[in-house]
Amino acid sequence: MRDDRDDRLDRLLALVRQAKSEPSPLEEGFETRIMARIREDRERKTTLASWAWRLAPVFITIVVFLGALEYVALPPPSADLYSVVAEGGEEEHFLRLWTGE
Amino acid sequence: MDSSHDAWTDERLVRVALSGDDEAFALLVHRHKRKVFTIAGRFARSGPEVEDISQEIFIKAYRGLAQFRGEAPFEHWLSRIAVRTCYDTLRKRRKEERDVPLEMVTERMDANDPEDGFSPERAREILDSALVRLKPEERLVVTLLELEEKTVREVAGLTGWSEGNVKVRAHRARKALKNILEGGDAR
Repeated sequence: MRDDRDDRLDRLLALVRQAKSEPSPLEEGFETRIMARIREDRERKTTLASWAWRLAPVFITIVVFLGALEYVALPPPSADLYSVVAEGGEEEHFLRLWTGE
Repeated sequence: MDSSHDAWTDERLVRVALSGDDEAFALLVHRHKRKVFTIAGRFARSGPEVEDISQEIFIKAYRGLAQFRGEAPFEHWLSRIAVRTCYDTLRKRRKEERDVPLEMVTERMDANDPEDGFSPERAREILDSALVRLKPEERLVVTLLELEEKTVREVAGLTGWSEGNVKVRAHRARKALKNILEGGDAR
């Protein structure tokens, strides 16, 4: 149900609707600023992508190097743990592993 | 700006912009910036904020240009983005605005009844200080229905809410607004 407060609010809203909305001075050159921002975004994305491609050979080289290092530097694998446990010699196996014998 | 694009429809400009022609998008911005500035101006607190919100709206439009299918006019599609961006802005700054002292609103209203013939600018100042105390969805619905004079159906289309939801929110918003302007709390 409408009351005095509704009328008062409606009068206020009607007044606000009358408030002229002048063209903002910021509208001047707005297109230029937007397009500059869009180009900037695009360039940033392109730069990121190009850096990713440039760095790809470096990452590949590191992976290959680490793979080769593991193959060359690490000792050959000992008997697999399952067979050692099955034979009941796990304590002796770990002792050898720790002492390096 | 290339004047050969001037006679093109918005839909054609969108297609050309999608093929990488920046001039076409710049022309779309030129055609619709007034509308976007008006919508942003209803929710922004300052000139620079109008610019920030308007830029955000056009950047979103640019990024989502491929999703424009031409089923509705470009202006409607852009208005939906504008309204949702403004709604997001309201939600983000809800916390800081809630701290506006209630006295700031009531003092102004006590001293000025709309019948006393104060200026539209003064009325806007009073209304703005009351609107910041509403929930973002209430502020959005009041602005679109009462200030932009959209219909319930249009508001539903712009916000993605059901018409029933818009009506309920509008009712709550008016009630809260009346309470605030009478010097009470929003609820």
